[in-house]
Amino acid sequence: MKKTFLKRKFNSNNILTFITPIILIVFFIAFSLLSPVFLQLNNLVNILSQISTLVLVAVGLSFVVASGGIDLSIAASYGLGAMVSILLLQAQFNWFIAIFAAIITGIIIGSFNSLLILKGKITIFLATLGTLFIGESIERIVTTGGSPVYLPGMSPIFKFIGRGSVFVVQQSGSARIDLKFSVIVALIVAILAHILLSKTTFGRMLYAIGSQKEAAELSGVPVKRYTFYAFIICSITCSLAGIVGSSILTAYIPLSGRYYLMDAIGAVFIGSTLNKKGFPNIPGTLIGVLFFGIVSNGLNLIGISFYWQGVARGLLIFFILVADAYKTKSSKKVNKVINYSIEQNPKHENMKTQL
Amino acid sequence: MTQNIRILNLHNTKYSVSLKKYSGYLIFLVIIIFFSIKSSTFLNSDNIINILRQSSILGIVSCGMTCILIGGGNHVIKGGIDISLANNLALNSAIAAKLLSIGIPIYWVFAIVLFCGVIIGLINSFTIVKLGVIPLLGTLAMMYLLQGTELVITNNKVIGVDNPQLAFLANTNFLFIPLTVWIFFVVSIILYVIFNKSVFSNWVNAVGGNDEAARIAGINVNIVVTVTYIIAAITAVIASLLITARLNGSVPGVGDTMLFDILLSSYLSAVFSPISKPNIPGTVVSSLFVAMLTNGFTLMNVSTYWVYAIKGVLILSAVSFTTRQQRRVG
Amino acid sequence: MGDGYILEMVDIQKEFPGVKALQLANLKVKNKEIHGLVGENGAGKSTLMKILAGLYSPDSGEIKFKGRNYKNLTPRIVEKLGIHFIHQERQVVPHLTVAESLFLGIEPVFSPFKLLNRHSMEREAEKILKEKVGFSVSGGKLVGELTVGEHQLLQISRALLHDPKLIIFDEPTAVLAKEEADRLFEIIKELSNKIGIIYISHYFGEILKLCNRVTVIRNGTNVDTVKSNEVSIQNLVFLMVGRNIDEQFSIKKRKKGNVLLEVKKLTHVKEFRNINFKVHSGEIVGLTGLMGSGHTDVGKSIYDNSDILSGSIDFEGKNIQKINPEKAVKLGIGYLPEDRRNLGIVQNMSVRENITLACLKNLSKNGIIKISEENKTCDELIDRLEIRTPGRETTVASLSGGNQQKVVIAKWLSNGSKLYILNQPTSGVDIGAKTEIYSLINKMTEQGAGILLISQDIQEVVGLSDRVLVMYRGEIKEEFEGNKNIEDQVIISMMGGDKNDSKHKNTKSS
Repeated sequence: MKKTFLKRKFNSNNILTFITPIILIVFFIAFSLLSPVFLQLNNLVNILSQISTLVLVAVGLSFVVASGGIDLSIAASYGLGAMVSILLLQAQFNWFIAIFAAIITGIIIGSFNSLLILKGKITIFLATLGTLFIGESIERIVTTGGSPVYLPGMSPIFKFIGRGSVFVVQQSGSARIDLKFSVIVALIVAILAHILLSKTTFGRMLYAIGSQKEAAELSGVPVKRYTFYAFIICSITCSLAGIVGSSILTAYIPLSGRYYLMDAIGAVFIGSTLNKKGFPNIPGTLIGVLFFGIVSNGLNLIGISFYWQGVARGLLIFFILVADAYKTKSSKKVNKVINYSIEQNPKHENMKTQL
Repeated sequence: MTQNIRILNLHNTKYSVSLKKYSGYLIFLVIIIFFSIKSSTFLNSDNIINILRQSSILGIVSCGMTCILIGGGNHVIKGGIDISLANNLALNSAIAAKLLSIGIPIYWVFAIVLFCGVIIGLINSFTIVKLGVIPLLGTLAMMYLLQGTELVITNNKVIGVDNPQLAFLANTNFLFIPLTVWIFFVVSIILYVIFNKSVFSNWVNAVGGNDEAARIAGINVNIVVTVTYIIAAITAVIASLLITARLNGSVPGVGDTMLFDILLSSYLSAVFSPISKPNIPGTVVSSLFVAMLTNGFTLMNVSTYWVYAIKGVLILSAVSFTTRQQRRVG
Repeated sequence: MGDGYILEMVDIQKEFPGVKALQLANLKVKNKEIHGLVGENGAGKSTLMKILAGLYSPDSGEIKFKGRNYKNLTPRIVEKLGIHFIHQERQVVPHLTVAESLFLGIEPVFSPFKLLNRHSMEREAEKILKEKVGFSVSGGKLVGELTVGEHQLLQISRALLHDPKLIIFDEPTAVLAKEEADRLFEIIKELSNKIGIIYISHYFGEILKLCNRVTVIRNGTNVDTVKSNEVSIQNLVFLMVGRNIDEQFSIKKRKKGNVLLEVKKLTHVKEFRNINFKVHSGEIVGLTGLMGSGHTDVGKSIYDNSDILSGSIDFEGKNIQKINPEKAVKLGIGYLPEDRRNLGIVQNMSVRENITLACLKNLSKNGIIKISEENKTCDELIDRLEIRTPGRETTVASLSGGNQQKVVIAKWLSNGSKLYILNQPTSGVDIGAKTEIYSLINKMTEQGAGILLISQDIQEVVGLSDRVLVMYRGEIKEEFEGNKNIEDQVIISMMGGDKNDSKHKNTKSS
């Protein structure tokens, strides 16, 4: 009994399912060995702060990918969210108005995407690409060329969002454990998103849309409306990320959203490899983001140049994708056999009782 | 009775295809008229040559991307694509510049760069075809890799190059038309023949439409897809040499800015097809379209930032309009 | 070729981990004969065919083709030998033209420089299609615009271009109209003058009419091979299932209630016009017709308002403006689509998720799904409908066709639907599951549901329905009271004739 149990748990297939966490652990160990600073608590907490913006963007994107689409305009949502909030602050509006306006911006962008896709019938790729173009143009136009807007003396409440500390512990020496508020923001959003996606009817129906749109529609799922919601949620979350990001820098750097675009896509898809059926999911996305965070942080500490980090990132994603694809291929074969036995056996039982 | 319905279909076909097929070109024409009204120099021979030149480099590599789209189908996530193509271009430009700047003869450089480009294409197709990785993700990973490698080689700086052969490429005119444009012309003709007129064209269209059906018909799907990725890589290499020639060296970040234009041109090509599928002639037209927009607005003295936005809006409207008009199959 | 056998599969054994798929299975097909192959889903006939196709290799046993022994078959070799399959699941490349599709893979016939001459290719295609299968079509027409039956003709022509020696037809008529099926039979009969044919089908009537001999497979082995003129349908059923299936269509003990659905002057953009009928609770209204008569479109349009030009739909007395699936579900209407695999189920999701997809609102509080309620509902329905699945978390794509269909029905039952629109409910379902679905439909009606049954299976329509509406060329031509004896009349009506024609026929035959 025990033997077969163990065998089942650790066959080659299963190992591949957990390839991402395993690699994560491997890196953890490697970095701890290579850098004395890495494993220190203050550094680990730093990582959390470093990834909070990406968490927000990737979590938002997860909704769109779950519904079967993709959103290239998240960079624009981020950028415009940052722009609107910083410019309003600069014009002496209070923090509440700034945040509110940024959220509205997100709603507008999400609605625009939906309009293009649902009413304009443009393919999702092109549509969100177009929104990205237009959004970035607006950024350039407003800042006449893309010059950053620095606002070190911004509203202290706004500043707190990204730079404020929730929990500080002074350690021996110069080290401090500093848990930033941005982590709390990211955490709350992630938890809400997870509940929404995995436990509500909205989430379930979203997955149905992403899996098989026409079948979902015929089952009464409001496809158009929920796709609209998915895009809105995504853009709002990304604008929120823009707020957090610009708070952290106390500045607005135009076109910096691009940096998050590919990382978010990578994180969401790495996340879906952690799901049995390959569905995008929040916990997986978080692990994906953690991945990027740990790798960047670790490589930085070791002293590897920023350029080589790009190479490292690429190799890592490559490896994970390959392992996951391999796992999917072999599990497909297993499924075929299992299908067969489902059909065969019940009939056998039937025969027995009859004869 | 079934007879009746078929006749109805045919009727529909004969009548409406002629009109709807050309709705994309119609918009193209409208834009040309618009610009020629707004600017007296738009239709100058000099300006037209300018537009042609500006569209050439983009056009060559976009045609390559289109080859992949044709062979891979255009499902939003699972379809064929190569996001690393622009970085393939950029990296090879950097390699070429670096090698030339340390004195390697030009023909060796050509060979090395071609080799590198093809290897990248092979790795991409291998991960997709043999390992079953989704193209969007596999090429995304490759994009990161190439981005990083380029930064490592160039240290994020410009590498200047002064090479007579490259200068020749960039500056010579043949029959008043720049060599670059001729190369674009030749490349697009070759690709047109391969992807529209040859036996291979039937195979690659079948693979892109339904790879299972193609497999059943006895077509080697893996080889067809691999060929599309290699062809695209080669176009990237050609474009990389041309851009190195034009810029007299390699400039960091050129790949990142080009990526979206490339995607735009190749996806937009579907607008110029009666069945809304990406195609080579459409890509040529799209590249011209994109270059024309930039050019026209510049002549109108519209600030570059606005150009981007207007480009986006125009293109989206064009796509929306034409996809509604054309019959959709499949 | 011993005894004129073109194909001999002798004592084939095939085992998968935990499952003995085939045990001493034998299949012997003579040249120039139409050999029927019958068996329940899971009995082994598809495994046997996959071995023949070179996709699996047998653990033991021999395969002889034209007297020669073959080991290690691959799809390539099989095709070279001249063995061709016309599959049930058609893989289509919709944007290729008829000519391109016909010659896919064998194009070089036309090109010296590996270039295609589309014009001559299209003319050639038109000629071949006309000659071989009597199909007149323009060579430049897109495959995506062909009907299912037409595409099948294209498939057959393609096979014929390869100079086949043995053609296997796998459930070819499941989606064909009667007229197209008849045309297919003609073609097959003609083909059998030159080559061998294996014909796999669930339609026993067809099998007995068309085939010379029939092999029945049950539990992985061949039970018997019989001459079709020596057996009846009952015999075949008994051989296939091992027991007698009781009267499929039980006596109807239903009570007709109030009007659930009233359709008035419903007109479609293209397919039908001026449709009027009512469906009451506790009654089954059958809707049938040839392909192109519009009957399949009526069902879908009532549900999602697609392409409706004018007319009205009343549900429970209230007029519905612009219905859509979301509204329909709320009202209590359920739609079972014809294309079960792509439109009926969400393939990647579990049985549980599929069953509860339409009624999640009832199982959730404040938007959050209550897992315990969901599981309860799901288990209840799996029991009630006897859905054969390892568990509620099984991916629904791995169930057999009949069980998938039950999942779709369960989905609407869990929503408490009152009106069901069933579009070809038993297409591609084996006889065992078919009977279960029929009894299910009966029970639902007895419990007060109203059912619009859209089907091309005349026996089914006539056997289940209280009333049968026959459509012809987009209009309702005639209405019949549902009982067994009207089958012939229904068929004639479907083809455009009327009662006088049948009288005429009778006098002629006497």
